[in-house]
Amino acid sequence: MVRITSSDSQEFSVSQDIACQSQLIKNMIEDVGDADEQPIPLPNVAGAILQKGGSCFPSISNAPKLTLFAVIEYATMHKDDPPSAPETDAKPSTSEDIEDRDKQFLNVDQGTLFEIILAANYLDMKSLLDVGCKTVANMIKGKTVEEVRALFNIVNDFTPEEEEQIRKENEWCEDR
Amino acid sequence: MQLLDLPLEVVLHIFAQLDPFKIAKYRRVCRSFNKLLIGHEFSNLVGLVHIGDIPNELLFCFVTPACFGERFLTKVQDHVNSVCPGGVFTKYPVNTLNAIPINPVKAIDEESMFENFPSLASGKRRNFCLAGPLPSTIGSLTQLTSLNLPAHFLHGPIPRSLGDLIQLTILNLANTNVTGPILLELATLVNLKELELQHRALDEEIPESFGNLVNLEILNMSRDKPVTPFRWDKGSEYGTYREMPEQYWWWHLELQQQTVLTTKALIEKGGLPVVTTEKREATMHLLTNLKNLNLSNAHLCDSTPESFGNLVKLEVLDMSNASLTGCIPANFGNLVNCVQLRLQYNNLSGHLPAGIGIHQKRETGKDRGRKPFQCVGPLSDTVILHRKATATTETRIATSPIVIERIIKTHHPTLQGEWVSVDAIPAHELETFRNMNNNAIARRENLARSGSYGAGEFSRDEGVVISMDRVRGAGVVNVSNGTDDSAASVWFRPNVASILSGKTVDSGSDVGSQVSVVRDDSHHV
Repeated sequence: MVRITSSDSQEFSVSQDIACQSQLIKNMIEDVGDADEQPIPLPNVAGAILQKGGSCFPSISNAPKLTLFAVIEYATMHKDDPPSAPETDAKPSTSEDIEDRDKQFLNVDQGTLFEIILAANYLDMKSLLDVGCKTVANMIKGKTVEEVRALFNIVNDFTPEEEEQIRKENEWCEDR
Repeated sequence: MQLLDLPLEVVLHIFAQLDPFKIAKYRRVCRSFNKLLIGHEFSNLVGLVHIGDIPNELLFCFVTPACFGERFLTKVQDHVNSVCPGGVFTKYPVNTLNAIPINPVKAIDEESMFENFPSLASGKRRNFCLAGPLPSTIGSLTQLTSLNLPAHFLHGPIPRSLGDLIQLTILNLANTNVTGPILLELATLVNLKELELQHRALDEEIPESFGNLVNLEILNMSRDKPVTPFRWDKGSEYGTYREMPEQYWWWHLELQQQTVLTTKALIEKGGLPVVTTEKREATMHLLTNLKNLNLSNAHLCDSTPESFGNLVKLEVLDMSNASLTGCIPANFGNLVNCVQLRLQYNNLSGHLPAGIGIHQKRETGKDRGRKPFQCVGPLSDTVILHRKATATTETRIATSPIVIERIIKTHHPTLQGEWVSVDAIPAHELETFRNMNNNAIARRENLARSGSYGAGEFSRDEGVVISMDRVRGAGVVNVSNGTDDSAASVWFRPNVASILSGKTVDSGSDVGSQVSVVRDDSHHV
């Protein structure tokens, strides 16, 4: 077992094969040696950004939750996955191929989704980062510029002239 | 937490999941998106399609998500694959980008575009590239060392990101119709050796930071009119390029707006495309690698910039028809490497600096003893000086529309053997002088009147005056000075008008205004 603590000092105990889905933790364990001695601090990952409501997978999808907890759940869920094959150039990943369980897992509010992506990025969990980014990409896909702004609460900070200039440059792809 | 709160690499990762040719439209969402999507991370999304070859070069067109739609690109790839089996859809990086115009992309539907694709079967070399605004994604081609976009149909502002192409050594934007400030962006391109900006409307002052371009060897900002006026038919979707001979592609566009280059900075700030007066010396030092400076037709509207005399590596300096006034600065004599100094069609006066030409190396063989051009007396207009170092080419002195005369024999001791303007000769001496040279003049005029392209012979003893005022034409006059190979030859086109005789000889078409005097200076010590 590996003990890890979140930025808000919550401690989690997970099995090593689950924890080592994070390249970061894996490297730490390899560096430190015996993992049982000290909990591994993860100062960049909140344990509880919001009060935990749900208890465990699969009900977590509908509840505010702990980022780290969610990440651990994801790792647990995927602990038996075969090691990911190195990506080939020939077959670029598309945002379509998300497993149903991942879809369900990431069916959360935007803020939580970004927290999870952020944590995955920090923890260096490629599969979770990928699936998270794909989820966001799917949210963008097919939307107009205005819809994207509304969706992500982005303020248009261009002057009308600047926007028009970009629109002209992009004439070929604007309406397709 | 917001999308834009995520680290840059994560947002990039998100965009990387999307179809590369569909993400470009999201540049418009906000500045952060725009910056992200035109950034280096997406440089591999700038596709370069190998669309054919021209001699010694592979020809690419570049396609970016920013300027092409997905459907189009798919077709491009299919087509390229069909005409060039094996697929030559190439992606960045390449380090040379030549865009040869065929058909304005903006104006085309896909059908007409493919008409212009290179077809290996037909053997016709047809190439295309994009038209419309230069996409700002150009800035992501950071490995480019050469960018040739002499396409007259490019229009719109130059993207600022052009300044990101810091590897560029050659930038050719000649004839493009791009507008707006450009020079400031270029000031970051410190590796530039060649910069071709001719024929475009420059509507800004040259920034001081231009002095950064320390490697510049060729700077061409001339504004020649197109050889063949070509009216760009804006009403026609496709333009009328098909009617043009291929060799005139570059020259098509009728420059309807001959905007004057604001060279106030040039003049006030020391003549060079640079800086303030106090920085002048430093800048001179910086730009001394310049080998070719072309500011012809640039309407400089002031005295010849003295600082140009410090550009000692200059080989070609062309300031013809640049509305220069005043005299040629004395330090132009420093231009020891200059083989071509073109100053015709200005309002220059005064003397040619004595130093001009005196550094020319002596040649062996036939050219042994040949000396550079010297001139005294006021210049009612200007001069082109050609100096060729090779043994086979002539030393040329070309004038127009100015009188420069060579006085072989005169009572005026200081003018003996010199070329002068008639203005330099006192009136009473001029009369004598003219009488002495009457014979030669008459013969020359006969020659010109005959409309002949042939040569006439003049002996040295006749005292040769060759007037080339308002010369229009071509012909050859050999001026012999009595000794064997030291003849000076003058050749000019038909249509000679002589100030000396007051007669105008009109022999037809007004084909040109440039006159060359070819002579051998060996007797002229």
